[in-house]
Amino acid sequence: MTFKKLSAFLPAFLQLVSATELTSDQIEFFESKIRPILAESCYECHNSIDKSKGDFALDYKQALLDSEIIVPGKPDESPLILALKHDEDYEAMPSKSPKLSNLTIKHFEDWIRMGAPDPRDQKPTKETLENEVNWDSVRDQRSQWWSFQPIQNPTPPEASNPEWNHSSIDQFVFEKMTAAGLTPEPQTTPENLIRRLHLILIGQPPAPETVSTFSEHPTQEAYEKIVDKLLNSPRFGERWGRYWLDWFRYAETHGSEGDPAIPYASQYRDYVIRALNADIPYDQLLHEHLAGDLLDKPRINKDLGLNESAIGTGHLRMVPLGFGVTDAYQEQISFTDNQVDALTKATMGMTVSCARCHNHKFDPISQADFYKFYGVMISSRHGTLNIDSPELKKKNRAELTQLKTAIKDELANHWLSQLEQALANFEKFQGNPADEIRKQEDHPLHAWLHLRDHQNLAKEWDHLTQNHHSRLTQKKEAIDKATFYADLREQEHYDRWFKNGTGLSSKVAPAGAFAVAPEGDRALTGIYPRGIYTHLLSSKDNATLGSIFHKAKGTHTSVHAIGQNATARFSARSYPLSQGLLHPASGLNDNFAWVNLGKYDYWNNEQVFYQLVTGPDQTFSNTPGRAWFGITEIFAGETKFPNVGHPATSLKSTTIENRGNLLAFYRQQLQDAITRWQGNSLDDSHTVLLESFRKQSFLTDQLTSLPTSLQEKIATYRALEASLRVPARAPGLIEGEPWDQPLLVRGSHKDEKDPVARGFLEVFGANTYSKENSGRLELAHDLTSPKNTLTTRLLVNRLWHHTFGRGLVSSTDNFGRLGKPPSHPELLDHLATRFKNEGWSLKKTLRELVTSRTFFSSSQVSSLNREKDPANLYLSHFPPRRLDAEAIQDSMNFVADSDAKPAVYTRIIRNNLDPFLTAFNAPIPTTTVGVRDDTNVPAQSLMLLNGDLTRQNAESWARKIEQNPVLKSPESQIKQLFLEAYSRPPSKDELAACLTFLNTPTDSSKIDTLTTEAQRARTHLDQLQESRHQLTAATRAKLEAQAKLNHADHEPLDLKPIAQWDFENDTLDSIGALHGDIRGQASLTDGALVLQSGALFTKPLSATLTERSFEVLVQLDDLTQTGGGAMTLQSLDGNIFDSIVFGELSPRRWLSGSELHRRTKPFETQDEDLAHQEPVRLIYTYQKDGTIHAYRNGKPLGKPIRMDQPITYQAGKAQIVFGLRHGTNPGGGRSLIGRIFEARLYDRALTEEEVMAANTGRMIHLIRDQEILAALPEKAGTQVIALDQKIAAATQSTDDLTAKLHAQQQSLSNSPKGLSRLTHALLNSKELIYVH
Amino acid sequence: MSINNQTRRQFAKLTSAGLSGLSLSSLINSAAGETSTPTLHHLPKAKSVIFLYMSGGISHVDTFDPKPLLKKLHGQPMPVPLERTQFDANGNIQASPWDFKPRGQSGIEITDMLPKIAERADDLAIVRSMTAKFSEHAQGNFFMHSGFPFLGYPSAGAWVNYALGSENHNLPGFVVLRSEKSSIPHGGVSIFGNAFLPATHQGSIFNISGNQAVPNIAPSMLKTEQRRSLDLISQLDLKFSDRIAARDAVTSSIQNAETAFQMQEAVPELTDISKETDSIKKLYGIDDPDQQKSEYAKQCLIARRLVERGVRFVELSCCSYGIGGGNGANPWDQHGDIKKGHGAMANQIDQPIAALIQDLKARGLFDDTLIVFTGEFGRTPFAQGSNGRDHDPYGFSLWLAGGGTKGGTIHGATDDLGYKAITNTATVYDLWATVLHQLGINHEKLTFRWGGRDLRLTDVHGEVWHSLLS
Repeated sequence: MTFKKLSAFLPAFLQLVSATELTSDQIEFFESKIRPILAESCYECHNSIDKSKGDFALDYKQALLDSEIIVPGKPDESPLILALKHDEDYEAMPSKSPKLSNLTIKHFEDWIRMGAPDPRDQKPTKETLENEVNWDSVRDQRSQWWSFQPIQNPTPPEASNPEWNHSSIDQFVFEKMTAAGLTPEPQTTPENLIRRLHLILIGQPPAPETVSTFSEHPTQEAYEKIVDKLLNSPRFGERWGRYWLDWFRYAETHGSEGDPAIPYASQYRDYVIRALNADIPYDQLLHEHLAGDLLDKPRINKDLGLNESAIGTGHLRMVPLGFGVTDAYQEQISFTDNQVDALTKATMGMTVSCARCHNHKFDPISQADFYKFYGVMISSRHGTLNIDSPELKKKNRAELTQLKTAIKDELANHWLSQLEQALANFEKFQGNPADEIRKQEDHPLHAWLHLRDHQNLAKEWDHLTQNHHSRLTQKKEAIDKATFYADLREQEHYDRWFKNGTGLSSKVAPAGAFAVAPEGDRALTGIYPRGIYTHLLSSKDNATLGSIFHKAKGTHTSVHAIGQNATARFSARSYPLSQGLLHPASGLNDNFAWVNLGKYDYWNNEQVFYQLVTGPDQTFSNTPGRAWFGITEIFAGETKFPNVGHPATSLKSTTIENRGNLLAFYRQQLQDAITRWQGNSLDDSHTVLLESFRKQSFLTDQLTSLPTSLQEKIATYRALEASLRVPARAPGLIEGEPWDQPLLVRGSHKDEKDPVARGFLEVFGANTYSKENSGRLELAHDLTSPKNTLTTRLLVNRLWHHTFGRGLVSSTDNFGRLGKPPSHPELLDHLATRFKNEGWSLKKTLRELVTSRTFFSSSQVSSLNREKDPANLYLSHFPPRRLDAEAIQDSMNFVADSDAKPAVYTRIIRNNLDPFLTAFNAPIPTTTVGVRDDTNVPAQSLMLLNGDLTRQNAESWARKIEQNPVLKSPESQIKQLFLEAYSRPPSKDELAACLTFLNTPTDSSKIDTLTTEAQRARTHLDQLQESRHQLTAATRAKLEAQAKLNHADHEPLDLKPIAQWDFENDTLDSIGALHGDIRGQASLTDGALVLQSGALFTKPLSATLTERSFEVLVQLDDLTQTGGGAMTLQSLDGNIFDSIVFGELSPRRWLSGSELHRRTKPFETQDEDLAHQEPVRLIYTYQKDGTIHAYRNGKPLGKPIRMDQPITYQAGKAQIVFGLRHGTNPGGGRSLIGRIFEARLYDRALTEEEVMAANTGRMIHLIRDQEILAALPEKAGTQVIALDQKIAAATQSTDDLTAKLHAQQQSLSNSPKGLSRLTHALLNSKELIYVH
Repeated sequence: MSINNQTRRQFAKLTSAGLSGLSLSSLINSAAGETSTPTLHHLPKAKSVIFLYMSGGISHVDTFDPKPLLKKLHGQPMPVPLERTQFDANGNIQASPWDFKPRGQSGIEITDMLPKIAERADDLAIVRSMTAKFSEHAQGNFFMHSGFPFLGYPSAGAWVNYALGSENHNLPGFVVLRSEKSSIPHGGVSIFGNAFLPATHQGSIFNISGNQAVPNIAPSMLKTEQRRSLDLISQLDLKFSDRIAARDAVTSSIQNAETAFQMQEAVPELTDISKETDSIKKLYGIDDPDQQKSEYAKQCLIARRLVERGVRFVELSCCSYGIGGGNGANPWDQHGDIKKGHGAMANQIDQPIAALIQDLKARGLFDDTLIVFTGEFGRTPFAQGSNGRDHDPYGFSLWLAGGGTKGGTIHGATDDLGYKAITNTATVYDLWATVLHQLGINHEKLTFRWGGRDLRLTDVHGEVWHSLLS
């Protein structure tokens, strides 16, 4: 900045300068080199007006001297200089900002050396201080940064080494390299070059044949052929499109609660991939990204019938959104900020959204700049676009329109001929007492129902007429007081609405507009009054109709509309989601009605707009299928809007004396209506009358009753309509109300300032955009304009980054002051210039990069080069690096010959991102990511060591190699594996190591040891238990004998079941009425219910059951079956149940099954080992408190389980089922295969004694352990207690060992076998996932 | 001026025993990829954080912020204008169904909804003037964890881990515990994400109910086979690293595989509480018949085990009973039936949390461990429907304990109705500024440059609650 420039806005200040002792050179130096820096970087915190951090100010001479931070004449001793130089003993200054440039610091040193000449004699006033930090001067100062300078076209410097004159890129690189004292590394091997090229261009390694063919004749020509082949491979777009998706934070959901989907999001992904494959020029793509829907000449994809350009704005929909937000304005700021942030970072490397609350801290971007972009964004609305090609959109339209006229004409004639019949039908019309028409005075047929039997017709007719008029008056008043009212029957109202979709024409449809039904037995969907209708040609058409904004005020808003699979809503502050509670969308019905849109009062004082949209086009949850709507009026205000219709009295002023008059009146009006329909001169009242006659079938449009020729026309119409395809759709923006956003002071929406006219960044000129539209097209022009010095540099730098692992500007997303300056500024400009001159082609630029000598360098580095340039800034060698997540996955799938889709097609669900890709640094889709992280975390190793992808691929890769008949020896197999994975054969050592690895048998010694240990522990436990038994046997026998005596032995064994089945001859309940019926494959054989895959269902319970027990004697056909139920109590629909289940969660274990796995838990017990040989008796008891005990052959099955609440089964609503876990149809994984010999149901939880008794048939008093212990002699008692402790410990250790053994056995069976041991290891190796 | 050399040396002395290689790679006040010496900004009071997150929004007026006026005005309409609420079903003022009384020496009033925690009143530093900006769960969860309302910003645990690193090589430094009956709060796992920080700092979710606390932690093959496989792999990798100019990257990823190998042991060892004594299990309530309580007790016990093992940040997840709107993701969300729902939830956490404080004290860990107890917002003093409460982000309570905080203190206050914070209004930025402060970190200096900005956990805000610190 020059002195002159500065003085332009500092006249007052200059007058105060007493410059007598200072030379003009000194003043010029201070004003041009020192003052601007002080003003911009220091005054904010160190001034004499309102903030003096560290208790000093720098804004005039005396304050500066008092601060003691400079020692005039001695820069080296001045704390200021040390702080500027980031000396470690001083706080780095300017605080929280990038270090000042070395040149600037040198200026300060020079200035202090001069004695710090300072013309600032006076303490500034608040005003003068503000002027000094005037934004324009700050901005101009900041726009000196390299990235805002015009792009140059420097001449490539001749290289002294002829190899480096290969291309201009190489010349620029060589110059820098040699200047840095580096020697270029030699070229890499042809084999590795081809591998490198494949990984970089298409993200997977080459086939071994490709490598060998090339390495035999590694010519430039052969190489370029491969380059072209790869650039033309569909994999290219899938690889590089993924980078593009990173830049625009591609996602398929909005995140937050519920993580709602962005309908059709993947269209954008596929569009990007196609565009890159077709090498569409970058400037074209940027136009499409901002305004693809607005282009005069969109790009048409003939093969797919798509308007490709229209898909481009999809990325602007991929914002994170809150769910059911209560502060809609805050939410709007949040998602608009995200749009601006991603857009400006992705295309210009500018953090414009940093200027939301204040001018940018470091870059020449003002707060107003942010709100210019904000305005452009909010002037468009989130919507769904019909992306069919214009040709498809036009298809059959003329024919359909023509046919409609003919259909109408013929149908009207037919109806005229049927007039007498229609009137005869009508005359009989009495309606039922509850008929809606009786209640609706404004229905055209109401007068008939109401008056046909009335005493005083004439008076009542007048009465009806007056009522209607007073409603009209009320309506007029309501409109006058309305907050918002639009009459969409009026063209001038409709003209102000925003229309998107093939279903919306620019003209209001006249009264009598009608739609031919696309299917069904009636000819028409309806005949409509004046208004807007989306389905007049086809209900496949799409439509989004939006109003301007208004500030909500009042309690009520509603819309007079009709439709199917369509919604009406208002959007508070453009919030694009609907959620029933706070952001409702009201469904429309196939009947005109005033539909309340709800929650209007909640959103009072907020800017809202209305939107009517066909189901498949909703931005919240799209509902597929045919859809349409019609609308005539919309209203908002304090009161409900009066419903005024078209009663008969409105048809014509007339006198009615008697029923005859009335009927004649209807006849006349109907005839008029039909004639006028035919003559295109219908009014709304007659339309509604005509439609009422049709709807009530007094006039019929039943296809079968129509003349043949009319039937044929309708059939033709339907065929033509059926041949229209359902439109392809994509998320995007649609034009809305042009909106200049008020600047928000400190970013707060509670503090709005004046609206900011939309336009581009002021650093590139101060033009503003049209007031007539959103300005997206103009923004696209500005983004790609030659004035903009960022766009092309940014893009070629991105390509460089992904090719060479680091951009020439390493901060690929930030070309501002916090970013890094370019390592090769001339090369960057050279590439940018060429890129633009050669048609903005990504492929051409990439081709230049990968055919350069620079690309051919080895990835090894000499120690000398490493020492001089450890970061490889100057590319003496090719930088080796780990592959991106997608390339890792794709490479693994490629070598394993897996048919998995490329990783780019993995769905991006914000709240559920793919764990594999995320672990390898696939970005979180929030903002632009030009450089992916490259972290190294154990989760990655765990994923590769233990995860499914490696495992499955290891197996299929091994299978592929083993099945290759050419590869007979292990050596040849290993060699092939290396060629496929690394594009090179194994070294001798590697071959030997792999062979040894393969030949070493699996070490199962641990299993053997564990087996021995487990056996030993079990024996020990048995011994302890035997000792205990011996100690207690005598006492037990004594007690048992006593018990027997006490109970005699004839205790009658009736456990009092409430139902019992013996399956001897029938399936009847021998006690109650729970008789069974067989379904599916089951039968009675030899006194058992034999279950193949069928089941027995009983009659419903006659009593309600909570506490209960099941008993079943069952034998299984085999023990490998899983999930079958032996005996189940379930609700009649089979959804709620409790069941005795075998092998569901753990093989061979019995468990207690229940709905939603609420109680499903295997009992901690031994595996079943008997039930396939003989019947076992299972008893489950269900206590009131939710405890479930299970017994097998009288012994407890592990510990009881306890659940929150027991299920109560209601009488009449539940039943018993045998052989099926639950449900109403036997089969599938829920059926038990085996036989049931007997079963009982109890209405209580049986005690342990009762269970024993059920098993033995005898009731015995159980001798409990406590009783025995109490009865033991004291010494023996002590011994037993000691033994019990040992037994507990031994049990624990036996269980532990057994569990460990099982785990080991499981691991052994899971371990890769044969060659897949090796393939699994190779998939874990680094070389596979590195490009080098 | 920056920390002087003396402080730096002191710091080095203090932590040399504990600092691991991992922390050497985490830098304070640095840009990505640039190197500088790791330092703390001042002497730390705490080493670890246990974050007791009451997802769904625990009611402050029923717990730590008693309001007698509610009893007086019960059943009457709110006398002040209401902000927009999430469910827009605003009823009349609803008194708390729980009684409150002064507790401990400090006499802080706490209701008897949480009797055992209330007994610990003198250990609690309560903030009664918290505010949040969002009335909805997912945004509230993201905001409370990261200071921003949606994904893409690092969780506080990730920041802490980035600043301090883990003291344990075999366990991640930021662990989130969950159980069968709890699930990830609304918003998904990114709530615990590292966002732009290095991935090593992300929250690792341990599901302590299953048999695989961490995905892929169970060896997919026999351990001996895996060892042999890893040996072959590292043999190949080492040779590869010789051939390319990325030796460090390759060797550190070989090291990484070894860490993963060790983790396969360390994680199951961590979650195996069978070796804990019966009295400890009883103290926490491990064997409680209430399954939710038993699961939460186990989380609390494992939290202690994690802190013992040098893990920096542990977050716990409450379990759900499905009452009154509270589900797995938001178990405290009683839009209806607050008495039953909050009652059950309180019973779930009361004993385990009190036990955790007691146990940490007994082991001398309490002073080094900062406990944070909060939901994403509070609940309205007026009813939703007949007996629920809606979300109230305008004023609610949280508490801190241990880690150098002053027990028995209160910061800030809400109005007489408990509706909005009016005195010493507190924010999530203040919370994390305070937590970082206790860990020895100046929240304004803990930055990470990303996408062209120096980003902070506290954005551009945050005041340390000095009145709550001892």
